[in-house]
Amino acid sequence: MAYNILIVDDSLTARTFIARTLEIAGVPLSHVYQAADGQSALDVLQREWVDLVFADINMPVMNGVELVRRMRANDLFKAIPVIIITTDRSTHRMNELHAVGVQAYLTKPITPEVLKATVERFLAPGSGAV
Amino acid sequence: MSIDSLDILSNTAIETLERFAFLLGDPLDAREAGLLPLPPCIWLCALTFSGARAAKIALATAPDLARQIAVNLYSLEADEITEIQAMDALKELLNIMTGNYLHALEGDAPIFDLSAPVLTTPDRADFARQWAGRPQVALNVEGQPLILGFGI
Repeated sequence: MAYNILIVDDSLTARTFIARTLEIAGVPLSHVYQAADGQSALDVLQREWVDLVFADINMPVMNGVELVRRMRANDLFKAIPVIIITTDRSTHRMNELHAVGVQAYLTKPITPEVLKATVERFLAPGSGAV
Repeated sequence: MSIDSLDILSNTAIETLERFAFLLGDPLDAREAGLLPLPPCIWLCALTFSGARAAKIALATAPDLARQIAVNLYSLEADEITEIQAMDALKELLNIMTGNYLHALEGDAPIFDLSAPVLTTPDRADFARQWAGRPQVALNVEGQPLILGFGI
């Protein structure tokens, strides 16, 4: 099975790095969608089927925390796993993200091994996450 | 800024370059830094952080190194990399370096807010005036100079 992944980050470099790392990790991909902020991510979710979202926290227009809040409040999107990829490692921020419904939290720079393990944790057959 | 924190900055910068940009960096002492001067055109990238500590952190390097970072990250040939991609790659590098530096310095407990990185292109004379006497570390990144400093 190949997955549709949405990557949300205001840095084109970060989005490209995550997309490339997914390829290097051998994650089976159908489509990789990209968005530069939370509002653009919601627009993608309205028109495309997405299996999993990778999102940054600090973004213009709509940040990652607000994006997750809006997703969890929408019946169409609330079951989609969201993985935050950020430079912020504080336990307070981690708790805040778990409280709004973030499934996992990775710190930059990510490695192919960690990314693959995270995707499999939520999307592999039998994971029961979705 | 203590010598310890500059050592931490140097180490986290080298680690981030290796893990994120697939480039090797080595610390330069003052004499060695003089032997590896910045080019006339400099890309200076800066952001501010606030929280348990607050400061402005800046990274200066040659545009050629930024392009090399972008080549590695985008998996493109050097002549396919746009200036926007190279500048964005440098901004993201500073963003990640700063996050790793603050974590190495303060651990998991404190929250830091980081501003969006801003890139400017001062000439070498302006840059030298701005950086004189500032706490900084210099690296040799595969033959190109990279300087990190505070409070610029």
